[in-house]
Amino acid sequence: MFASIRSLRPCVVPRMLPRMLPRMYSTATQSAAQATTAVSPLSSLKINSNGNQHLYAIFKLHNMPYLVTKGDLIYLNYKLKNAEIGDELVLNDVTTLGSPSYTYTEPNGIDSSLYSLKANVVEITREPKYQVTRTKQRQRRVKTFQVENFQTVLRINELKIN
Amino acid sequence: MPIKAIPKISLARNGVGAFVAPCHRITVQYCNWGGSSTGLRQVLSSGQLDHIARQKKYTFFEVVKKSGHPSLTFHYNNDTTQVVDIANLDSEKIVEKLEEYSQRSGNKLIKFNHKVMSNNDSVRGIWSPLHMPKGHRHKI
Amino acid sequence: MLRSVIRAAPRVNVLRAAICRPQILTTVRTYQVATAKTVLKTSYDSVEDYSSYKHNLFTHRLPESSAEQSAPLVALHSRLNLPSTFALSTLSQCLNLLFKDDGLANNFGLNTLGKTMLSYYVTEYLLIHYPRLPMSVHNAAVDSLMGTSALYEIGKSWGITVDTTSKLDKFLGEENEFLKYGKLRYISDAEKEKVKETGVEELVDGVTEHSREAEAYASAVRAIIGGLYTHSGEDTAKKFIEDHILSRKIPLDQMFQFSKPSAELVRLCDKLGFDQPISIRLMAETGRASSHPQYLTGVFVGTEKLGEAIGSSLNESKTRAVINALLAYYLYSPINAQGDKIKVPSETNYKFEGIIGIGDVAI
Repeated sequence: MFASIRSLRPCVVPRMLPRMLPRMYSTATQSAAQATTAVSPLSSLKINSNGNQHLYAIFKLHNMPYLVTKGDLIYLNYKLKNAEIGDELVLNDVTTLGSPSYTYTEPNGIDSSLYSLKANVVEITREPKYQVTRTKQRQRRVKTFQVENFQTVLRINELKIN
Repeated sequence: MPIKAIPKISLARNGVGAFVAPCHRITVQYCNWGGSSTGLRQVLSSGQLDHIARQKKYTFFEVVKKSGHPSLTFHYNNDTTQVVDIANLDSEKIVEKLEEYSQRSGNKLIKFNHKVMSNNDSVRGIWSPLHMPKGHRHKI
Repeated sequence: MLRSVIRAAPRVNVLRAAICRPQILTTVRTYQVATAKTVLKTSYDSVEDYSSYKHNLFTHRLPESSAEQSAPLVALHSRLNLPSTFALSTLSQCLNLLFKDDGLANNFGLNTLGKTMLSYYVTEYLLIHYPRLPMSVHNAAVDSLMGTSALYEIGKSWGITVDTTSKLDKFLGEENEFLKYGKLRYISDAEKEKVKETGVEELVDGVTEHSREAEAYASAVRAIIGGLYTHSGEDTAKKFIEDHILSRKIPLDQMFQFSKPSAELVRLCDKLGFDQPISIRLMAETGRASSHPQYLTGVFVGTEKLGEAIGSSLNESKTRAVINALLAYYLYSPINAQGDKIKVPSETNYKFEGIIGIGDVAI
């Protein structure tokens, strides 16, 4: 409902127009001046994210994508091997980093030196118990079993562009 | 006069800055006579509980002798208590239960059908039909 | 307080419209002479010689060996990841609010110290990162981070429990005598012995059981911060505050209550020196005849858009747009040239790189 609350600068061009969407992949050749100043490749993204406040990342865990911002909780319906509560996980398979006007995607994973994404294992609990019944047609035997899967809760500790 | 402030309390995000282990106290209740406490008595006498307590330095372990079935009571930081009945259980099973419940937070069990729970606004904003350029808007 | 007024010499009672006496509403002036608390056994050479004031109440600190025997205390120490320099006896002192029961030092000094630390770091954080917040909202934000209710919640989330068992119950239950040193002690022995009727709550001057508990927890949290400063230095205390208090999310955009947003925005733009006037324009709509119409309104200064919003009526969308423009201004958080959040004065090699707000707008 509300427009995004950002700085007093003029609102960015509506994102829905693909033509006018600023692209990260430049077709122009890199000038000599640019090469010597050694600007971080994600500087536009960083500045647009208002000091890493408005930044999201799409990372993959067991090849499943999760879109997160800082402080989010991730609910996994399994136990992570060798993880106990309080452990910090360094998530290094990030596919996309995004800010209000820019996104940077690398399908094979962004170079991990460009960003920092960490999660804390907050809780290892279970999902509520429920009953599952399995049976076949024209067979009276009904197999019933209880299901109570484990649930790991991760909290995104830190998400920033280096 | 121009702006009034609405008082609100900030939202806790355990794990963002510092992580505080949610289970602060475990009460181990055993009975000296009953057979249902055999497993628990074994855990206590063999020093297994001592070993676990040494590892979990952030939890206060309390051993109580009371007649009846044995139980483990887990006290969590959100003021909730979970009582686990361990009558007639093996010492291994008891240790398993101890480990499992001490890693919980005391919150009600939920099956979260989505992936991420967030209290941040969306970064890129929510799509609205009125922001589509004139030529691309939906025509009835 | 009502009790002390009764005890004194020729004074006229102030009968407030207290809950115990709803009918009598006479207000009579009272003249009170400041007296030192007799409990603290203050002695002085003369009333005006303030440097000679001395509390003669005997207090001692818990020996470290006794503190180490308190399991909940050691657990709390470990749960908060306090450094080893933070003595367990100090932690026990942080949890003690009583000053006459067993002669142990209480947390008053540490509470004051921690409160000062907290005030500084929280205010610094808010002023530097949100320089344009109106004063009332800034104060509310400070409260939301370090007010009594917030610190009460924080204290509870750390697993601090209250010592509610009386001496007799402890004796009969054969409770370990060191257990209480790890619990929050603010209820005096006499109060613990009192029989509590369920459903009946004693109110003294509007102070409820809950508010006393909240105050106790808040003072324990502040005292722990004060103790951390004492034992481990300011850097550790700052890191602790950042980790536990500043890591919390302040719902700033829900804390504004505007009364005349349009007038305020006009005044603000005046103050900022915009040469062109504000114009509120309808940008898009679903159509006046549509069921549940939506109007998208934008607030413009010349060709620059300050804010926009969708509403279900023209007036609603106009108001929302104006509010969005105001929020976009007030919630601005400056960043430096590299795109990082700006530094705060307490960091090393500090150089001012933020902005200074122009102050509140009066309408």
